[in-house]
Amino acid sequence: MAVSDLAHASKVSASARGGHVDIARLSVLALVAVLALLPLLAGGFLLYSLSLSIANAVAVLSVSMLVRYGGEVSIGHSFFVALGAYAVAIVEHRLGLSIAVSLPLAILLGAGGGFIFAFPSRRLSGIYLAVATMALALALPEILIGFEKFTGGFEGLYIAQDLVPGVSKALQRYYVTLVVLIVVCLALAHFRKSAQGLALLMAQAQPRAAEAMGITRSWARISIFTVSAALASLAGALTGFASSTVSPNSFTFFSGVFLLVGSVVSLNRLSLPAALVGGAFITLVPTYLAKAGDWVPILYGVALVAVTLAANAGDLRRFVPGRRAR
Amino acid sequence: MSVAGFIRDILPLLWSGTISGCLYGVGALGLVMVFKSSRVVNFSHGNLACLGAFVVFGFSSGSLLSLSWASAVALALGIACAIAVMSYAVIAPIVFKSDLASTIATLGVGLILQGAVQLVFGADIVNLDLPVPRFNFSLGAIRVSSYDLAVLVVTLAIVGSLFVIIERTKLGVAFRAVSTNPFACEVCGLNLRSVHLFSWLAGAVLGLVAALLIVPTTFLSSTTVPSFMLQAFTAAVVGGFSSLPGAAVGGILVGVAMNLFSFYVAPEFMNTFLLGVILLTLNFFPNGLLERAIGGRV
Amino acid sequence: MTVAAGSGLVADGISLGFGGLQVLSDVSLTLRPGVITGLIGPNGAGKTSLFNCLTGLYRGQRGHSSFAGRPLDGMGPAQRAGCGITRSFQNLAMCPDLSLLENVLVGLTLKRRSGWFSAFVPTPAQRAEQQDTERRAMAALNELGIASAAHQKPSDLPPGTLRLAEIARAIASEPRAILLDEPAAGLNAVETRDLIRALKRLMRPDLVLLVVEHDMDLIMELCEHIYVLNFGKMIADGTPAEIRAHPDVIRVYLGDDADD
Repeated sequence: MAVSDLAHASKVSASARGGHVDIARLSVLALVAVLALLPLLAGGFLLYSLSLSIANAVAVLSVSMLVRYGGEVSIGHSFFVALGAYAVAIVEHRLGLSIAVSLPLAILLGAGGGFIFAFPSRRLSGIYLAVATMALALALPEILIGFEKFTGGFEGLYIAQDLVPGVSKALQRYYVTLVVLIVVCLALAHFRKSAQGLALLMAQAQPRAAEAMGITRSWARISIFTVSAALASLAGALTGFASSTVSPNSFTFFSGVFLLVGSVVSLNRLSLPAALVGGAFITLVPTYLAKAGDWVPILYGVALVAVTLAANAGDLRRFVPGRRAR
Repeated sequence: MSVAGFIRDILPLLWSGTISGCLYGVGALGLVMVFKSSRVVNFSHGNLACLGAFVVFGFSSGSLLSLSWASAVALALGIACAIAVMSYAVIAPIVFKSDLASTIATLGVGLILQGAVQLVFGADIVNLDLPVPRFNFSLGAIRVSSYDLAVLVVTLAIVGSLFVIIERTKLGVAFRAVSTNPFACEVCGLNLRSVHLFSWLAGAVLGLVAALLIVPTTFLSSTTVPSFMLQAFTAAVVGGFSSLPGAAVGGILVGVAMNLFSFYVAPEFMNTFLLGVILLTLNFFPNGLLERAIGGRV
Repeated sequence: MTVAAGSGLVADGISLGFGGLQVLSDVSLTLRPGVITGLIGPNGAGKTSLFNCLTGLYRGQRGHSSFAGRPLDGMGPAQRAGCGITRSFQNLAMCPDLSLLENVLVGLTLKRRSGWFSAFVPTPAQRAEQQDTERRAMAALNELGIASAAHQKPSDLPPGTLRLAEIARAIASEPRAILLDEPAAGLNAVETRDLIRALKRLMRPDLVLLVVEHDMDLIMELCEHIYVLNFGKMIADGTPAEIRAHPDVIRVYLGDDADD
C-alpha cells in the first residue's frame, strides 16, 4: 500500500476513475514531505508543540473512528489516552523499558479496557454509552491521584528513555509520533476496505439488514469501541513520549471533551490532513491562547455547536447516523 | 466493627444519603424530562445549573450586586430559563435529525456556559448558603438539621408541582403523549416544539434548584456543580433514563449508596464508584432498576 | 409429492399476536429445496409477519421452525444467517457510504476468515481473500446483470438496480435458503422480466427459495409451488394451476382483478 492511500479512503474509491485522485494523492504526499522537513524550520517550543499536536491527532482519530464506524460519541476517551500514557511511564519506572515495549502493551491495555467498558451497553442505544463515558472522564482524575504508588499522584511521572539512541530528544519526539501517525492513517485506509470495516459501516447504516447478514449489533458496538480505545491508548503512549511527562493535569474531565472537539472540527474524517487539523486545533489553541485561557472553553463550545449545525444542515448528512430507536 | 456501632452509624448514613439523594433525583428529573420529550441527553445541564448558582452568588453577595437572596434567585431563574430557551433554539434545527448530533451540540453549549462562568466569576471557590434559620433536633439516632428539612420541603414541593403539571394540565398531557410517540403527536397536530420548550425550561429550573440546595453542603466553584451532575446522570440511569419516578427513586438510591460507599469503603473514589454503578446497571438492568416496580409511565 | 422430514425450511403451527390482534394463526409451510416457492396474499394478510418469523426478526411467536432438520426456534436473524439463510429487504437496505460492490461484499461477511490484525495490516492471506470475495461479489452482480454499476454509490443508482443488488447480496454468500421480500416492488416491466429470468437461472436443486409478493402475475410465472395467506391463515397451497382454480383464492384474492 502506498503512502498516497492516506487521502481519505472513500474519496479515493469514489473518484478512482477520475483525475482528482492524482491531485489528492500528490497533495497528501506533499504534506508528508513538508511535515518531514518541518524540523529544519521549527525548533524549541514550537517543535515540541507540533510533536504534541501529532500525538493528539492520533487521539482525535480514535474518537473520529468511533463516530464514523460506530455512530457513537465518547467524551471519556481521555481515559484510554491516559491508560496508554501511564503505561509508558510505569513500564519505564518499574521495568526500565522503553516505548518499544510499552507501545504494544498500551495498545493491548486500551483494547482490553475498551472491551470491558463497552460490554455493558452493547445492546443499548449510543446515548447510554455517551453517559457512561462521562462517568469515565470524571473517574479518571481520582483514579490517577488515588493510585499514587503507581501513578506518582499529583506530580505524575517523567518519561526519559529514548527510542532511537543518538538522536536529539526533540527530533525523536517529533519523528516517532509522525511515523506512527502516518502508519495509523495507512492502517485506517486499509480498514475502510476490510471485512470488519464494511461490516461496521453496514451495521451502523442498516442495523436490521446487517443483522440478517450475521453482523450483530452487540458485535459491532463492542468491536468498534475496543478498536477505538486501543487507538486512543496508542495515542496516549505517544502523548507521554512526546511530552516526556504524565500528570493528572493533562487528564481533567475536559480533556475527553476536547478530543471530541478535535474530532468534530475535523468533520470526523479519518485522513491525515483532517487528523492534523483536529490535533493542532486542540493542542495549539490552548497553548498559544494561554493568556485568554477562559475564552478557550467558549471558543471550543462555539466550534462544537457551529460545526455540528453546519454539518447537519448541509450535505454531510452521514456525519452521524439518523434517529435510532433503542 | 461491632453490631452496636453499625446500628449507630447506619441510620444517620441512610438519612443523609436520602437527603442528598433527593437532590440527585431533582437533577435527574431535569435530564429525564429533556430526554423523554426530545431524545437528547443534555450535557449542558450541570453547566447551566452552575451558572445559575453563580448568578445567585454574584447578585446576593455583593460581588456584582447586593440584592436579597430571594430576588437573586428570581433573577437567576429568569436567566437560566432564558439560556435554556436559547440552548434549545440552537439545537432545534437538528433535534429531529440526529440524537447524537444534538447531544454533541449540548456539549458545546455546556462548554460555552462553563467558559462564561470562568470568565465572569473566575476560578474562585465561594460559599453560598441557604437563608434558613439554623437549628437541629434529634430523632432517635438521626440528627435532623434545618437544611435537611429545607431540602425535603423544596423537593416535595417541586416534585409535587411537576406531577400536577404533568397529570393535570394540557401541557402535561401533551408532554406525556410526545414522550410516548412523537410522530403520532405531530400527525395529530400537537406542537412538539412547545412541549420540547416546556421540558427544557423545567430541566433548567430543576437543575438550578438542585444546585442551590447542594452547594451549601460543599462549596461553589466552576467545577463542583458540573461534576455533581454525574450523580444526577447516575440516578437517571438507575431509574432507566426515561422514567420520572425512576429518576426520583434512582436519586435516593444513588445518594444512599454513595454515602455507604464513602463511609465504609473509600471516599476518594466516588466517581469511580458511580462509573461502576452505571456500568452494572446498564448490564443487568438496561431499563432501570425499577422497571418492573413502576414501569416507564409519567 | 412428499418430502422427507428434515429437508428444506419448515414452519409448523406458527401463531403470532400483537396485543389483542392475532396476526398469524396456526400457519404451516414447507419450503422444499429446488423449488421456487411463492407466498401471496392481500395487503394485511400477514405475509411480512410470517416472513419476519422465518428470518428470526420476531420472537415470541408460538410454533416451531426448522431448517434441514435443525430447529431454528429462539434463533435471532444473525444466527439464522449463520445457518445459511439469507433474505432481502423490501425497503432497500443499502449503506449509502459503500459502493454497490461493497454493499454486496458485506453479504459475504460470514464467509470471511481474516482477523482483526489483517483488518489494519495487509497480509498476503488477507489480500487473497479480498480478491476472492470481490470476485464472488462481482459474479453475483453479473448474474443479475448489474456489474457495470459495481463502483457507483447507491444514491446515484435507480431503485430497480438497487433492488437487484439486494438480491445479488443475498445470493453472493451462496446460501442454502434465500427469502425475498417483495423483490419486484418498484420495478418496471422490463426490470421485472430481468428479475424473473435471473431468479430462474440461479435456482439449484439444493437451494430453498421463497418469494413473498403481492404481484400475482410474477408469482404465477416464477413459482412452482404457491402458498396463499389471508387474515393470518393459510387458505390454500399448490401449483400455480391449482391456485388459479382454487375457489377460496379466487374469492378472497383474485376476485376483482382475475380478469385483468
